[in-house]
Amino acid sequence: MSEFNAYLAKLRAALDVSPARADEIVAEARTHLEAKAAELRASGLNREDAARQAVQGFGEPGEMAGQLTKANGRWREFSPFRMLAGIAVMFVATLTVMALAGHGGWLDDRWSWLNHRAGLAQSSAAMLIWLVLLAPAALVAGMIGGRRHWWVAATPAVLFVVTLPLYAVAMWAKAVQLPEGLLHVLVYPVAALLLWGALGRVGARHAASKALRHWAIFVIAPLYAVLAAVALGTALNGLTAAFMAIIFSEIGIAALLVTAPRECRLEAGLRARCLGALAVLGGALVVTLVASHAEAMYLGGSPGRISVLGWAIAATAVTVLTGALFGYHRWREAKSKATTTQ
Amino acid sequence: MKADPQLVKGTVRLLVLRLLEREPRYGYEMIRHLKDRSEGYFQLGEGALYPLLHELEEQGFVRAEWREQENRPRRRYYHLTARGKRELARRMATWEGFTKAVDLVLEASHV
Repeated sequence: MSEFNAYLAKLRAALDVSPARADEIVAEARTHLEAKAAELRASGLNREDAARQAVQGFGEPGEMAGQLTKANGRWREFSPFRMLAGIAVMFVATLTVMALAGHGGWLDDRWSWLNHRAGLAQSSAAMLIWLVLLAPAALVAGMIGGRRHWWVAATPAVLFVVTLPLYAVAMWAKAVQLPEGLLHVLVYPVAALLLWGALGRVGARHAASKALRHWAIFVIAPLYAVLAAVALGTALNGLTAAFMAIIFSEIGIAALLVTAPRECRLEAGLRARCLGALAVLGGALVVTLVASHAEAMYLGGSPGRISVLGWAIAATAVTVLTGALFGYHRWREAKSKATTTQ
Repeated sequence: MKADPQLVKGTVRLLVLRLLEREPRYGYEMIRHLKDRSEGYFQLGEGALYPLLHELEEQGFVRAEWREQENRPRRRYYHLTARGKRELARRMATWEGFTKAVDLVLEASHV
């Protein structure tokens, strides 16, 4: 009802809680106001008077928002879950890109073409690719982190700036011949800070949209893990890094999926779907691993590598399996619903 | 009879928990129910109820969920958690102890 829009907009603006929580509070207030106004109209008041009287019960929006903010302390105060989830996204994305685009990674020999065409130095092209590949992750990290933790998108850069020990880790990575990509990220902290930080802020602004959160959880996060799976099959010298990426992908995405329902308060059944997505993700990694070894055994080549054809077959198998599982789940849901309504 | 705001403030938490003991309810329904059952004594305003409900949710005494309604807008229902039930039992015991003590004093003074 349009009569309440102005009041609810003021209420929302004065709330100092996460966008998701503010959505819920405003939606709840709207249903209450509409129910009360309908009752008042039924008792004989005209539309305008009914709306005015309904709003009066809530009181001044700033005062109401203050009380609600105070009552929703968990949503207002520092949230380690949101922060960790955002950092996990950036960490997973960084490791995945490292496995893909680092020295010996899947994209390593492909960007020499870019260097040649653009006349860029090897390190410049590498940085460009890294920044582009990590941009979606920065948006997602911002969405998950929300307004208070949008900066988590710039985690790798912030970590470099504030923690020298990370540099020691990078040196160790170089010593044990991990992809040099980690160093590429670390030597461009300012550019990364600006780009990812800005994108994180853009993501945080859109965190209020449930559809975008779904998109972030079910599309982007698994996408990075699938990229890690590709890296597992295709990396040459980056095999160790690929394994690391997969391990951290699983941990990071599990943390993301477990914490997301709590923070986002999405509709019922989401937790089950999150766990389902995680199972599919794990399945995809296992299938890739098996496919790469099967290809090495029966078609020649070295274990740990997979051709485009092998990857296509594995991806198709996973897609069919996922579709079948999803179809079965929907069928069971429909059956259960039919039983309940009878 | 006009309600004493101090008394209402002290008991509204107990009343809300008690209301939710039997079945999940939404905010507007709770206000109506409190008013009807108390014959108009408890006229709780939205400005008092919602911050309280959110505080109870924050403390883990109640849990809220959106429920779709047929041909009606969805509503946010609150229901008592196991922790909320324990809190209710504790508050009930405190309340009974308090009212009993008050009654004893009042009766003794009357005699």
